[in-house]
Amino acid sequence: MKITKMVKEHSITKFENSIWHKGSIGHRLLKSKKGEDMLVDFWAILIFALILIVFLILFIANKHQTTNNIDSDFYNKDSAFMLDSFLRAPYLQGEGENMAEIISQDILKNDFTRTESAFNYFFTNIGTYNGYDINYISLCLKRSGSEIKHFNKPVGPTIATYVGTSFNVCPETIDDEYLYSKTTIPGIDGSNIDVYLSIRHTTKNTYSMAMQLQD
Amino acid sequence: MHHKDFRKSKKGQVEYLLQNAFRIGFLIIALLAFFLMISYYINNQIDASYLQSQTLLNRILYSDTIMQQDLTTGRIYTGVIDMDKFSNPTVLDDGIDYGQYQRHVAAKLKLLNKEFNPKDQFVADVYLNKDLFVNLQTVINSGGTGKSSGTMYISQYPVTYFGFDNKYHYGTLVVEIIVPNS
Repeated sequence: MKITKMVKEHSITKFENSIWHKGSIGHRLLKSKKGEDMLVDFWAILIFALILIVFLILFIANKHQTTNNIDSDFYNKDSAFMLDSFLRAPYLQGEGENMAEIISQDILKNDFTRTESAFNYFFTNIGTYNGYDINYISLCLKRSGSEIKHFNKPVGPTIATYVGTSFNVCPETIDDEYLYSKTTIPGIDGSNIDVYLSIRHTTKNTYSMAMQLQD
Repeated sequence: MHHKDFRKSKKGQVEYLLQNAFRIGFLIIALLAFFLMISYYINNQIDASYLQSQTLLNRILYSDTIMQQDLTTGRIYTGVIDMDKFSNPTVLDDGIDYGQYQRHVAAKLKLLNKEFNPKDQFVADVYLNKDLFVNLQTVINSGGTGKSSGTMYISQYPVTYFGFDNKYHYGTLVVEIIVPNS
């Protein structure tokens, strides 16, 4: 308080009269034992506050990072299994072709009836995913980076909530609401076809799902 | 009074304490903050049950335990279930051995046929640590918590299986994994 008062009382326009000028009250105070202690206290508090803020920011930023990374890694593997399983599955009305071959043929003919019917059939009654309710499963086909066909399959009991937010593009990132996997299959004409499987899910509720599914 | 004598006197001690009261208070706050920060960063309550369940799940789905394998090339057809293996009730116990940690996880795999829509038709099931699974499932279903209970993770996967009628069928593989609370 004394320093503040003294600062107000002294003119700062003239260096000779400033409180920090040699011989002034401020200068004498700061150079005294008490003044040095005050300065040390001030810097100690300031540095401590800064360290505290930095640690808090780091803590908040990293709080869920590890858990999320583990979750995301496994989600991608699981959706990859679903996609793998679909592409390896035989087309039941065909002559021994698997779905990857059927997709290649359909792209060449530009008629996706077989792919769509098999996709809808194959993913029927898949509604749970580690405690998540699955709401949408989407299959997307791309060639040379541009989309050629997109199928959406609504599933799950709470589908009405998600009618307006079905996939309208091939998702290429994973977030809290959906996961996706991508693989490349060879086309009949020699081109590469990218196949995406995207799954939209809801909030996790392991215990209630466990109760619901037991029979 | 001599300076040393003054600090030894009661008046001197009180004055010294009052002069440094702010520093002592700040030191207490700083120490508390320090220990709080350390306790925040040290996480001694790690829930690894999800990780355990996913590790087992991946082992089941991607290994030749129940999936079809080309014996010539060794290639595993993930997503295509070999019914000769799946109809063996001890296939998981025989194929997955965790040694002394065997009792740390239990699982049930249920295969359903899609051709009986809208509800899938039961085809077969197999267990890993069946006794443990049945015991823990009973506790979980009755709402039991704590160390005698466990956490159940359920997933459904679309699969293909080669049925006993020598035809391929689309099915749903329901995987229920219970990790005991420890």
